[in-house]
Amino acid sequence: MHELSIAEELLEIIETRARDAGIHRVERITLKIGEYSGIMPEALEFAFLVLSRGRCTEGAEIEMQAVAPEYLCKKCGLTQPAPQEGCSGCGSFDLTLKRGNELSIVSFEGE
Amino acid sequence: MKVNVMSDILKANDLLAKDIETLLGKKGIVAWNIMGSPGAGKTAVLERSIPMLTETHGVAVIEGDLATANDAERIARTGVQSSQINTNGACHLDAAMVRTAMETIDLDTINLLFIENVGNLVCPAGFLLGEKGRIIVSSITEGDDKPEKYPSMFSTADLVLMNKMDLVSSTDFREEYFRKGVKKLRPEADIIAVSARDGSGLREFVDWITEHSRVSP
Ligand SMILES: Nc1nc2c(ncn2[C@@H]2O[C@H](COP(=O)(O)OP(=O)(O)OP(=O)(O)O)[C@@H](O)[C@H]2O)c(=O)[nH]1
Ligand SMILES: [Mg+2]
Ligand SMILES: [Zn+2]
Repeated sequence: MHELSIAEELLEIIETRARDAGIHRVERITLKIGEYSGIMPEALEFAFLVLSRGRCTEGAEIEMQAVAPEYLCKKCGLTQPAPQEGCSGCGSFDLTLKRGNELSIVSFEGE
Repeated sequence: MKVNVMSDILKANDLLAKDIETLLGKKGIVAWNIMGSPGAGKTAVLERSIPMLTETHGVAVIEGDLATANDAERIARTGVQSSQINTNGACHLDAAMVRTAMETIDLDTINLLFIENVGNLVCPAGFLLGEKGRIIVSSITEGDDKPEKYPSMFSTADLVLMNKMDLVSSTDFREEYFRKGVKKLRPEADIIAVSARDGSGLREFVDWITEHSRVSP
């Protein structure tokens, strides 16, 4: 999707936080990307690479942790992967997506 | 040195969306984010349903398109307030655009706000707009495998409309297959078959909106 604008947003967050922490050179960034986030990791990484030129994240390594979808049954409390036909424990359709659409920065390292 | 951030990348948007939700809440307004492919019939469904909805609700519509004010003009002909956002290339609406468009709407005369997103089955999913819930309009001519192919969007839907049902006999659309696809991604979603052409199913849609737009006092 709009990986370029998301990469810019990511860069700006890191720039601000790096400045606050007195970091001039970011070496490593860890992200969490849900499989249902609609983000294509390769495209995000490429956009980030291009936007980083001349900024504190230039040359930084990006680790992307994929997050598989996880549903919680509101009836019986069972956590499960994408259900086939209702909850795999009790058959209820009252399930919500708990994990799998996130797009977040976990941490970064630098000096 | 390591810095723990644990922040959503789209946090700025989410915060603004929360502000919108609060403002709408104070005014007793419920907003619905309407999403779907280009041409799925988002505007057509609204055009035909608004006359039924205005019997009991004050309605306004914010229209999001890359260009033109066509959709806002179509909505204006139904007699309700409409406001057009042109994203000039952006593939989705964000909370800042919606907040700006809200300035042109008299919020004291409405209790129901529809936000028609840019026609796109991917990008709008990541951006909250202050809505109470999400409605996907999917036309049956798009094929019955769209839920599986676009999980990021279908996994957030509260209601899915299967639109253009008047054309069902000239397609290979398998309703059961489509329903299963939605339920796998979003078990609690409701699904209604409609046609914005012959009007079938729209009463059920209007009833759903009425039922789910009740504000608890
Ligand atoms: N046969 C048939 N045609 C429909 C139906 N609903 C919409 N259409 C037609 O489909 C076309 C697109 O409808 P719109 O309402 O503009 O679709 P939209 O989703 O708002 O499109 P964008 O805003 O451009 O993404 C128009 O020519 C409509 O007349 C339907 O239920 N049956
Ligand atoms: Mg439209
Ligand atoms: Zn269960």
